[in-house]
Parts: sequence; structure tokens; C-alpha cells
Amino acid sequence: MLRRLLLGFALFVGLLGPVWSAKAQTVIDVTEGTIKPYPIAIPDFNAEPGTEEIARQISEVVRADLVSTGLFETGDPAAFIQKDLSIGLQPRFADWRIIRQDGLVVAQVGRTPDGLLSVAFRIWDINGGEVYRIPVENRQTGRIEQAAGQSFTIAPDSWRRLAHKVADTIYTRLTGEDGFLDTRIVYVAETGPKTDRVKRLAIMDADGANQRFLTEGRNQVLTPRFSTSDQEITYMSFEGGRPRVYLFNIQNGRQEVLGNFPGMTFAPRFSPDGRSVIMSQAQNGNTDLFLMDLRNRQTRRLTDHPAIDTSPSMSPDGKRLVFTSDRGGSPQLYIMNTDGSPMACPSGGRDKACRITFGRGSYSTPVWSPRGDLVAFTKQTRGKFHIGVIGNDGEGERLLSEAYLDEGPAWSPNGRVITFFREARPGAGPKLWSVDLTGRNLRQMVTSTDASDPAWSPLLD
Amino acid sequence: MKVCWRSLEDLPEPERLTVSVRVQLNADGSLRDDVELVQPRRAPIGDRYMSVAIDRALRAVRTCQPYRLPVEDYEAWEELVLNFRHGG
Repeated sequence: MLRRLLLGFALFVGLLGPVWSAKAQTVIDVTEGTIKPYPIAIPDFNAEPGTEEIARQISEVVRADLVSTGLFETGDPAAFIQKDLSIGLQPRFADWRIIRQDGLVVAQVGRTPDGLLSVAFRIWDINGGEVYRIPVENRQTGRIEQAAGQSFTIAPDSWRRLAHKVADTIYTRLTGEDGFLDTRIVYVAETGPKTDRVKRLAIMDADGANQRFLTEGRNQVLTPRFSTSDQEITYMSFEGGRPRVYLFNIQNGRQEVLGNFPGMTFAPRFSPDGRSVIMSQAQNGNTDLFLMDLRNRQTRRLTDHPAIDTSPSMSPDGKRLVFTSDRGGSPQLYIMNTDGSPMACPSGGRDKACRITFGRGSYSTPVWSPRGDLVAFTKQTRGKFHIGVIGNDGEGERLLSEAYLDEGPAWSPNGRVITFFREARPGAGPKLWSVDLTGRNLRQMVTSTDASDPAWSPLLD
Repeated sequence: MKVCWRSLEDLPEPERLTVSVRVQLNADGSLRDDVELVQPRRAPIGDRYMSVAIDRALRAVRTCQPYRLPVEDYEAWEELVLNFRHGG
């Protein structure tokens, strides 16, 4: 009988795993599932008089944001049966079940008495027939409470950010991940012929809106990286004919050279606490890693090796670094303790620096994931470039992309998505791309010029 | 169930996110009552990924009904415990 039952499940509903009987109760393990996007209906938001157009635009941005993650599909509004939605009323679940929606967002846009734009919204669980509770901070008590809805206000000219905040809330509630849609990406905008390239710092919203240049292009710039603040970046510039590391404040446009090192400094990156910058310094033909404390501008040497050590990136807890070194022959990834003390290497033994990549080809530009478990890298092998990830113990290498040139991975602040730049073929200009951590949802980002070296901001305040 | 359940592979540490639910089915394969959470009994406060795993399990059971199962074996599947877990 059980065998026949198991066959029945397998044939009709695809249940997998062992089946056994415990009294009248049968236990079934489900271990295989789908990765299909989650169907969520987001009808145009309701609008108070005078906000109809902006409400429609906000709804469009929310839909586009969620679809861009690859984890959601928003239903076709033409197919929606219930039109009389109101934020205060329970929707008619049957109307949404019949068109196979699992979620429904009902929202109301308006203006506050002091002229701000406001949006209040609820996310409905169609199959459960209830509202999704959202953790919201109680402004009086400061406690986090499970609320039936959420609301935001913002200056009207920042309406796109309002949409991104709504999308981030939906994304977080339904995926468990922190949001990353209300963020910006800084990159190097490239114009002009290959022989006389103008490279300027540029910034845009994560969805490609609001692109603008931050520097004028008199000097070439490379490798911009965000601080823990969304207003400060560090990068390398050839100002004065010598590559050096700079700090740049986005708000006031102020730029300052970081330290007065002999030789060249490059490949800068902030520590996760924002208090120091780690970078490479080349002097007398050797390149080592250094850390500069931004409060007192004192530097500390991190490596002292005749090989080329470069591209340092710190773990989220600041205790370890990953970097590229050719000390073993070809460029490979190494980890070390930030304080320079010897560590137990994942591959055995104790050393000041432990190699974590052993595959064919060369590895470069490692970036420690904000989640802490993975390192993203560029890999060159058999004439192709890849973006990949590997466990910080050197286990589980996965390649996420392949092209003529893929380079320079940068993590979204929630550690879920990687952006990088790609030259699809020889002579093609570089473009920005993104890919989900799972290797799915590979997308080109639209920029007004050729673009390279992207870096993702933290979630905006 | 395979097509209704969103797997846990994209969540960190999916091995710890097993969710068990108990369902009672009518003879036509539809849910008799709402799904009962067995393990964990409720979404632990502050464990966002477990909340998502619970959402996915409940959603799977609710959206996949009615189940087409052999009526002659109704006794065996009238009450089921489903363990949604990562991997094989």
C-alpha cells in the first residue's frame, strides 16, 4: 500500500523522499523545490488628489525594482479582477488566487501637511488570506513591532527613493535578505578613443537612474570604493602624473590625497568600520599592502614580501584580509590576519598568509562578501575571464560568468548580488553587469557612457 | 509539491531551516483545516530566514491543493506531516 501511495505522490504531486507510516500519520520529506520567481501583483498605487501621476510612477519603479532582482514577477495589470482596492480593506483573495498571484501590494500615495510625499502600503499573503506582518520600529517606544503595514515620507523630488524603499521592504519581507534597491553605484565613466580615454568618476542610482559625473576628467581615475558612509569614496587618480589614493566627499565635492607615500599607491578599499583604508604601495620595484588609520593618518605595513601583493579586502569583522599575490608563481588569492599574526591555514599548516585558490589560471580582485562567508574574484583561465565566488576557506569555488573580459566584482550591501564590468569582445567598450549570487539573473546595467570599475554604496539613510 | 515549494538553496545556512507542518486532507485532496506548524511552532522573532522558510512551506501546501491521491489509500494520507528541508 505504501509503495503505491509513494508512486501516487511521485506521479501526481512530485513529492520526494522517504515515506513511512506512524500510526495514521504519514511523514514525507520534501527536499526539491522550484526557483521560479514569486508572483506578486502590484496594481498602481491609490492616490490622493494631485498625486495621481507620481503615484503611477512610483508603482512603476517598485515593479521594475522587484523584477530586476530576478526573484519576483509582477502580474499583468490588465488581468487584475479586483479594481476597488483600498489600503484599509481586506482584498477579495479569491479574485487574486484565480489569476495565480501569491502576493498583493496595496498602497496609498499622498502629501503630508508640510509638503512631503508619503506612501503607506500593505503586503497581502493571498494563499494564507492574511496580511504579511512587517517589523517596524515603534517611534514612541523604539521597539520593533510586527506591523500590518509600513509607511515612508520623503521630499517630492526624491520620489524614486520612496519607491526603492517600498521595494526594499517587500523584498526583505519575502526573501529574508536585507534590502539593496535604495542604493547607488559609483563607477568609472569612459569616453573618447581607446588611445586617449577620458575616465571620470560617475554615480547613479542602483536602477540606473540619475546618472551624473563626479569629476571633470582632467585626470584618469580608477577603482572607486565606497566608505561605510554613502557619501564618501576612495579611489586612485593619476593627478600630478603619479598614481595615488584619494578620498572624495560626494556631498561637497572635496578631494584629498591620502598620505604622502613615496612611490605609487593604488587599489584602495575602506575597512568595514570606515576608520581605515587598506591599499597597495609600490616602491623600488616591490608592492606590499598597507593600512592607514584615517583618524591619525598613521600607516602600518601589512605584508613584507618580495612578491606583488595587491587588491586587499577586509572581512566584515575586520579581523582578516583577502588579497592577490604572485608569491606562489601565478596570481592567486591569500588570506591573512589583519594584525599580521600567523593563522591556521585551511589547506593545512600555519602561516602569516594562507593561499585559498588552487585552480587553473590566475585569480585577482578579491572582495570579501558583506555576509562574511564568501569571496568574489576575477579569474582568468584558457583565454577567458570569469567572475566567481569561493568560500573564505577555499572551498566551493563557483564561476558565475564568462566573457572575453569580465572583471572587478563588487558586492551589493546585502551580499546577494555582484556587479562587475564586461568587454564582450575585443575592442568593445566596457559595460556594467550584475549577477545574482546563485549565478542566475545576469543583467546588463544601462549607462550613458562606457563604464568600468563599479562599486556599490551601502543602503542609503 | 516540487512546483509549489520555493527551495531554500538561496538562503544562508539552508540546512538549519527545516520546517515541518501537519495537514489534514479531505478525500478529494483539499485541505480540511488550515496548515499547522509542527516545527518550529511559530516564526522565531528576529530569525528572518526562518520566517521566510516558514512562509515558503505554508505557501507550498496551500497553493498545491487539491492533491490528486489514490482514494483507496485515503487512510494513509488523510493526515500528513511534511518536512520541507534543504538537500537530498
